[in-house]
Amino acid sequence: MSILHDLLYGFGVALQPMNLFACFVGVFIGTLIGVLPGIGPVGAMSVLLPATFGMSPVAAIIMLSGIYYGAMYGGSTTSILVNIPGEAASVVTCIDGYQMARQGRAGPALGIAAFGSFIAGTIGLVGLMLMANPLAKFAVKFGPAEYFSLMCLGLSLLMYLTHGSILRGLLMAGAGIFLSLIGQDIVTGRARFTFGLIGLQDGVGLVPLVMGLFGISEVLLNLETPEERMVLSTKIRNLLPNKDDWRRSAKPIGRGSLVGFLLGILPGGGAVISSFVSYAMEKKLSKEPERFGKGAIEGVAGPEAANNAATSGAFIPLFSLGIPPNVVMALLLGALMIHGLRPGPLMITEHPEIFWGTVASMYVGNVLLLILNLPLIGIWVRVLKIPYNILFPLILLFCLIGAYCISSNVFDIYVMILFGLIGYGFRKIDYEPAPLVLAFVLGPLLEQNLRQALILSDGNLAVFVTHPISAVCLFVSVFLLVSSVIPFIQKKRSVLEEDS
Amino acid sequence: MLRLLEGPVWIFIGVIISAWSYRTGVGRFNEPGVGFVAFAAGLFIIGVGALVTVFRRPEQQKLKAADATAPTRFLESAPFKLTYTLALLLFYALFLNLAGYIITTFVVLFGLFYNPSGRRWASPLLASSLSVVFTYLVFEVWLKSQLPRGIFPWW
Repeated sequence: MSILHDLLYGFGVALQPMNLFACFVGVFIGTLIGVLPGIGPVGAMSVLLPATFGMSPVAAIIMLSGIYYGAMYGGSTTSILVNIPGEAASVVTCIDGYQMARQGRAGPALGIAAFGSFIAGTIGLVGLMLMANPLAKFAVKFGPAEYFSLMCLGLSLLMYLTHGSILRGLLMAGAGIFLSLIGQDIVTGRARFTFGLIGLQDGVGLVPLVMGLFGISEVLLNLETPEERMVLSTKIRNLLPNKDDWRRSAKPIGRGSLVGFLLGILPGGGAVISSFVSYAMEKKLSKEPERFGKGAIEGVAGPEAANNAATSGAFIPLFSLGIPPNVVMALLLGALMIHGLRPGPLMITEHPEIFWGTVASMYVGNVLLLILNLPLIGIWVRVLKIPYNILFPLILLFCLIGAYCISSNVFDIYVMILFGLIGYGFRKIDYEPAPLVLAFVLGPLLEQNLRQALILSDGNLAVFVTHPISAVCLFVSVFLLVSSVIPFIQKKRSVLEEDS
Repeated sequence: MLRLLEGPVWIFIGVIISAWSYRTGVGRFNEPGVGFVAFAAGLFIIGVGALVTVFRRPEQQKLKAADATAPTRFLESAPFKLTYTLALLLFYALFLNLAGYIITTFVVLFGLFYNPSGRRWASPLLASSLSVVFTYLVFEVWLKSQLPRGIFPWW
């Protein structure tokens, strides 16, 4: 009963005109950036973060969350019609979605993607409601040692689950932690690592850093390799899937929702991995695996459900522990902090309007997205035809305005340009910027908890292994890192031996 | 070449961070100083950098070498586009406070919309004017952001 009561309270918050408007703007922009290749949800959220400064914290979080899950819906449109994923989580949808479109079944593909997303989003929300509060109550018992170890676990899981080299991920995380320490010390207030620059006294801004690493570097890369977008000139009809489509899709949607939700909770899991796992699972479980890659509707329904359920799951560690499991959540954490809120175990009880308002707004947002993505599909198809040479100046302009508006300081624009260049360079040599951003956000919390734990234990390092929760987290972190580094070393050793 | 230097560059960065944080004040375990965590981060980078140096990937050098494809025309080449875009962004940062939001944004957007190989003036002019008006209305009038007015305070 308590959950129902809280949910009703949440709807009371979410249905206030300003919050409803924020939800609509969020899901609309989310769908738009999901449809448009070239800027992902992180870039869009960082660009729009300064625009939320004038809003209430609830409206700001509702809008930013809307962008995130809205992008998951929108991303499927480009995957199905253009064979280019609007964002990373829709990569798998290209495989069978585009084939369906080529066979004249773009309508059912888009339809099942939207319905699957809606169902999974709703299932994920139920999970979020049921799990976040008990976890938060449990986390109240956590001390600095537990928090420090939990953050180490979060970073290790991110390295373990994200694609690319784990060593590079570790290096990026190390760099991210150092960057987060620039500015005033949290205990003494002394400035450190500022190069004598006044602009760095308050540290490197999250928004210019993220905008540079994701927004500017993405544009620079796209300028280098312009994408040819060929929208299929097929008529989109029969958006409502038929009985056979539903029969084939029902179980993949259910399984995708479950897998996506669980992987969404894990740090580093998120929407991208869950969509891949769902696709692989459906192919394995299918009686006709040969249909996959040739327009199997299960290959669209499962991954689309998984990536949407993952977005709901990702909110659990953020709201209950104050630990972001991925970059998007790191940005949301940053937004909450900018609005003077400190996510953690007490947030749900101290600020129920934020948690329950956001949860309820996601129900509303899912309905809005269904309306935006099915009857209005024609509009998004037209948007797809906007050439990139018109789009990229506007993306850059929003980045420039966004960076400036944070503190009305040109210094932030320089920081953004610098990180744009750094991000461009990193991507060219296959370094993922995500671990850097997550470590950057977690850095100050990590430092605070480490120093507190050491001071409280009088410098006894054993505090991290004598506390059971902390010990388990550290053990799992070390196990994950060692288990992923050892095969890499063995492989390289054998390659070197063969060469010699 | 870049791959060869990858590990040593990270070790160098780690050494700089460690040395700098050591000078800032590492403190003791029972009283960690201002540079304690940064020092640990530096050592961590040195360690991982050493692993990267020892176990670098020889096969990826070939992959990157294949990326270097020759552009057709200079104005359409990637290096030109990148330099041109970055120069416009820096111009924006340099002149925003001086010339104000409207003029600087218009000039930079015109530069970005303008296609040097196409040489069309009308559509970039229209697109940049509309974008300036739209963003000014949204950010200055609606969201009440304090955009710089520059040398023309009445704007």
